[in-house]
Amino acid sequence: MILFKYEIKKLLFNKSRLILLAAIFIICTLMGLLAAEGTLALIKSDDYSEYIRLVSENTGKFNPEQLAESGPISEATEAEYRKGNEDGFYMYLHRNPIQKFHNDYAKFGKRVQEYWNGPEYQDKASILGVYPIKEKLKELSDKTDTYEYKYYKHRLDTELSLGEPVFENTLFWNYYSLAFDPSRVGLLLLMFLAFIISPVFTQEVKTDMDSIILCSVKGRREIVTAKLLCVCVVSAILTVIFFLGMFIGTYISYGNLDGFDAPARCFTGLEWTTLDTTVGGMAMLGVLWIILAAMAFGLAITLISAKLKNQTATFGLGVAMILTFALFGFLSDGLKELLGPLADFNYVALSSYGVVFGGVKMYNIFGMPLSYGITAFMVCIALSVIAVLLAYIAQRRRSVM
Amino acid sequence: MQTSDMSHSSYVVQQPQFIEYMFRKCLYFFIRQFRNSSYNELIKENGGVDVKLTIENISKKYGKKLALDGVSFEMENGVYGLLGPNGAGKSTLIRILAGVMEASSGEVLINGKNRKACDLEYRSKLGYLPQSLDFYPEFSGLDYLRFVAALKGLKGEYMERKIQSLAEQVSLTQDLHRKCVNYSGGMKRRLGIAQALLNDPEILILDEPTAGLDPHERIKFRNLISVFSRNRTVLLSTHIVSDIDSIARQTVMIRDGKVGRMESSQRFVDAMEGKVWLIKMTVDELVVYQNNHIISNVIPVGNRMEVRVVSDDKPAADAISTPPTLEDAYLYEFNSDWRTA
Repeated sequence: MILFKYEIKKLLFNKSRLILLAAIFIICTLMGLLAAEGTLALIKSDDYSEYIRLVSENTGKFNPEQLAESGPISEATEAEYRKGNEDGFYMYLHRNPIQKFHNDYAKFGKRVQEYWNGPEYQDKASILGVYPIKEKLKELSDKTDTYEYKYYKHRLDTELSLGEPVFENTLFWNYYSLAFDPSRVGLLLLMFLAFIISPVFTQEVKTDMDSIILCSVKGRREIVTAKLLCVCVVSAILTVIFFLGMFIGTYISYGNLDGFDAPARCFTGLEWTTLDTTVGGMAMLGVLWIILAAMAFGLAITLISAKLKNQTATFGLGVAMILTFALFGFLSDGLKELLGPLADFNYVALSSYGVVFGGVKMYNIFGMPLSYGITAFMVCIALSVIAVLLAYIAQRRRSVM
Repeated sequence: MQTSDMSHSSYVVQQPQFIEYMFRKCLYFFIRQFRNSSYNELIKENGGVDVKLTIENISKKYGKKLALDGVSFEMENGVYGLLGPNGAGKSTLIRILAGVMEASSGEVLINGKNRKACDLEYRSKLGYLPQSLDFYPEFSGLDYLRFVAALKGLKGEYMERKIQSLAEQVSLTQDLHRKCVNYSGGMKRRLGIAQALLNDPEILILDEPTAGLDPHERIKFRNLISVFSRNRTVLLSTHIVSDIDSIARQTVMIRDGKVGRMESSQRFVDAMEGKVWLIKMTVDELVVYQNNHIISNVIPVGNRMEVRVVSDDKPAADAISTPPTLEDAYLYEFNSDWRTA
């Protein structure tokens, strides 16, 4: 415990690092503010109260009459103002809340349609929508022992239990969902983490403390335990600071937490999630998940730090890893298939909350359909355990030059 | 039914084994805890324990370069000085002895047991000060000593008392709460010495411990080590011959990765009897003379120079024989290097 106390002092609780943490918090808060900048225009608009009234009246189950009214208005607005300019159209809708409501409701109507009939362009390998799945199950009725049948049966049961999407005012949460964007988490949070964690072992080389640590009673095993524990705590603290900053920034912009109890599928980016929870629950689960993914990444950086003797090289390798894995996301499906698990379970993919929990992707594990989330959890744990064991081995075999 | 009986009987057999296993685990845990808290105090009360350190045929290669070539010698209680020119292999040997570097071949034995076989026990008996040592910028002297004490398994009241006592011995009591990075070179070295002594080591290995210390601090350090070395083994590597002259039980001369003579300082000095001379000459004569002779000192006397020369034969007709020192012996031992230099 004493070693842990001093390790965390070296890595985080010192003047320069606390200043860095404060700077990260401010950056994240500003990002949250900017992500929800449209809300200021929305709140200030004269029609804002009318928007709230319309949302309140239509909260709940799908209303075909409302869609009949909102659909044409939304189409006309898009035809006139969208014209490829997404940012401009986004701001236009926020300045015109009533049209924003019709646009939102039209999108909701489309989602209800997709729930029952699937999207316009179906992926043959993973059919969506209650009716198409039922059709598929009829086709497979004589192959009930196959993985494919079990997969679609599981999918249908999940869809029916979650039920038809409902309309809710989840404006705050939709803005906050931007915090989980892979570009923010992958490129920003993980890079901050790589920078803060990279000296965990290399600083001992820099200060020549390596010799004293290695020849001490607790310098081969206990010190590694303290360092690993410290890395996990630092990863958790940094992740919490990241999401807290984004939360506060978004809250300053909008100042309303409505929609906390809405079904998880109202959370932007998680429209197809198979988790039966609320938007608030999903946000909390998201933070917990990213903490786990950040810990796994932090432990990987720790291993690199234990193997290399230079902080810049460790950080550079960490950044190279992040950028390479981020590029995997832009590869074609064929290439992703070629890369196999590396494309689905690298550190950037694992920190993409929406990708892991927002889809219906399943993995065939010994003939049983296992969701992306559960598989990703197991991979995260496995990667962490491997990194921890290798870090212990590296320290046991370590020698000075 | 049969299966059930069998599993029951194996359970009955395994149950006491499990209890015994758990009992042993608990016992070892408490022994470890006891050792952590009072082992060092026991050593202190008894004035240390006899340790015999044997270095057997140690060689170390860096790529194709042979840094140590079959080094062998033995050390028992007392101070051992390790003398040698730069690049002789002193630091490599010290790192291998400290267990922070692996030898390419050969072994280090402690009381006849291979160091690797009793690695944890060896580390618990060891204090080590490396040649260069920097500190964590965010740590005060007290933080640093507490951190190293924790690494050495010290804890609680004993740890605090030990830190205060050592801080007093190395004259750092007033500066313990200051950041280490703001310490002077001498203070950093003293802090390094304090950390090496934290666990009352039976084997103390010091690489250039007096580098950066002023004369007063060096004398204080020498006295500290002299008192400490009673019933303990201290290996002290240095360039400063006077550091080991008076306190070393034996001096190990090392050159080109090989151990030369290993004698007591007095034997080295005795062997030099009749080989150190004083000659008076002009500056111009000295310029020519120094290219062919080992000169250990030059003192201006009036218009001439009094030159101290190390030589097997009387170097000049007017040369007067003078009592030798360990420094003369060092120069004599490494004269070929000196001449090249």
